[in-house]
Amino acid sequence: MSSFVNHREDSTVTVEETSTKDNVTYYKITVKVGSVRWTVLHRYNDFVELHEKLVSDHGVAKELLPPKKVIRNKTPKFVEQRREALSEYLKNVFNYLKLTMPSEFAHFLDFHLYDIFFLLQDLAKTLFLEGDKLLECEKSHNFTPLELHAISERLKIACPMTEKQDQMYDFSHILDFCSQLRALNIEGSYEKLGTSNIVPNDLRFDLIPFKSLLDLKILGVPMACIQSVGGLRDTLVSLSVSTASVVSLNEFLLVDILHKDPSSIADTVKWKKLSVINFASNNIDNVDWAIKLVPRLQHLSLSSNKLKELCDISCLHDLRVLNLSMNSFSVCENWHAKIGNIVRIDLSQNRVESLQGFSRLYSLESLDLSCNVITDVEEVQHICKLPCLEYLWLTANPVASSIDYRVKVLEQFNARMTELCLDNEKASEKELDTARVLQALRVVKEGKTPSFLQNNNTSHSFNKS
Amino acid sequence: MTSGPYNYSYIFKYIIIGDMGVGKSCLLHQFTDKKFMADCPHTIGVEFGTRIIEVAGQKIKLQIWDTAGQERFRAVTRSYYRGAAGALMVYDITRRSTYNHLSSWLTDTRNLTNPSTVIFLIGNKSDLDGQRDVTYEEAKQFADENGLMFVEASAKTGQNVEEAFLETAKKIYQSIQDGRLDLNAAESGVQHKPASPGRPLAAPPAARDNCAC
Repeated sequence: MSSFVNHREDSTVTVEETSTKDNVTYYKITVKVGSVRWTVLHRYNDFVELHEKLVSDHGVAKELLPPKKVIRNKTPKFVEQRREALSEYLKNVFNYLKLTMPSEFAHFLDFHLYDIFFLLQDLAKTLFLEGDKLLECEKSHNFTPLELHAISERLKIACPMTEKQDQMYDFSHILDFCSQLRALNIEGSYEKLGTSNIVPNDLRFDLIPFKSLLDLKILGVPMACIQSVGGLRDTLVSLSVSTASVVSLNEFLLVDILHKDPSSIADTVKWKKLSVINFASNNIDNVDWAIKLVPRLQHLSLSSNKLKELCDISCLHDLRVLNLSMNSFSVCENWHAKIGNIVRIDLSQNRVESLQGFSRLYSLESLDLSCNVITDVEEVQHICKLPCLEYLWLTANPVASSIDYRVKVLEQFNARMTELCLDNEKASEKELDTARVLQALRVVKEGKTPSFLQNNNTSHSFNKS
Repeated sequence: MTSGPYNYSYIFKYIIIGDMGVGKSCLLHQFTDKKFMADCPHTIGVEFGTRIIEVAGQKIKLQIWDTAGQERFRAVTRSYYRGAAGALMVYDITRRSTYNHLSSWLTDTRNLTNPSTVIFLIGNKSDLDGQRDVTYEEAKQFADENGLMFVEASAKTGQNVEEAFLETAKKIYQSIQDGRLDLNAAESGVQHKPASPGRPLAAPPAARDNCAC
């Protein structure tokens, strides 16, 4: 992003090319400010319009603009001559107006799209006029990395003299808006912005101006862009960072801490109110210790990552919902020792084979294991004793295509079979009847009632052999 | 819209200035959040806060720029004086040096703001009366000589903090009423709330009702 006030002497405006569209000749203006550059297309009439304003309001000499020509103004030779003349014109006007940079001229050259100060002037005006309405009505507000970068940089630099005199364009209105905003979305991009060489995801920004933010959603912005989270640790309730190639949670949770070393981390970096975290579609392969920095966490979603195992997160006493869908879990051992009072687990689209690890998650109400590789219906034995389990998904597992799959699963829940919702469906009367028959047969076969008290090693070894 | 955070008629711009460590950010925090920040970090460049107050039945939004006291940020902070309607100039009653520097702060303020800017002198840390280094009388005399309003306040206990911000606003509001402050002037530091689209704040001219056309 360009910062014209810091690069006034390092800026040029030239007309280097022409193009024709719908029988109209366009002149391609190249603006360079420091290392930033972009192009703008204008036809001759736009120059005339601009020139009139500059002459009347800013003392530009009237004869400076190359004159109009009505006939034969399309010949290559003429166009080339005019291109040179317009280039010379812009160079002169630019040199003359460099210090004041009137708004009409800045807009003509698209400074409001690519330059920190001119972009913020427009933003200030919008937020002055609309800010309160947006705060009242909008569910969340989108800021581009470009805008956030401009705000962060603007705070570090003194007010430029080019700033418009009207207070409507005052930077205060932006900070005022930011300090009240409750929900913020930031969407990044690796694509060059407009006609410029600015890549939004190369721009750094901080979140310091956001003093009452509750909800933050970041989509496709690399964590390296964020230089500081400001006061977010005290206010943020819900966080979502998706498709940002994040490998570990502390990339965000400790984004502004240089030494990400567990022993040197103070209480001040804890996220005091954060209760919902969603890091969907990243490259996380391990839930690292940084999760301890979120003591009030209730809802953790790590869908579409590269997790294979769950580490001990029993320190999260408030954790209720865990979404681990679309990862690479295969063995889930002793999860009751790793997660405490959990209510909902989504493990759909993993490679889970056995349900043994869930046998003591006594608070579990919902377990989604759809699209895994469970083959043996007797695996259900491990979870049939869970007293609160009401929702179970086993659809799209190999076991789900076996004969009488539903009744065989339902039957294992004994008296609770009527309460269970299997694959989004409660048991029908017919299924319940069949299940009761199966249960009776089991009693006869095993000579004992009911099966859930029984060690099921025998059936296991039988099936495996 | 009769209540809530979006109902106000004016915006006043304030700046808070003074030496490093006199408690500028703490005053702001106490005023906006009614809390005392014990371990307040040094301000980098500038900070910002807002609050809506009521003066003479009018709701006014204060946009407050809290500047860094450190010398190295002086160039940045100076640029924020422009267009301030109120300037709170703070010193620490337990450190004479911060008081001695007031004249240079005052010079800056007078040079960089407009004549109608209300300057309010605050002697902060009044809770530390035992360590007092500047007497109330001395500071009061300085204020009187320079035509400043003055209180001793404590960002820690909150004593006189509201008063300082509110009195400044009252004085500014008074200036508007008296016509000494021109709302349309570019750098007055006072603005009308923007009219919401389709529902202009300024009532349509009454003359129209009487007009037959």
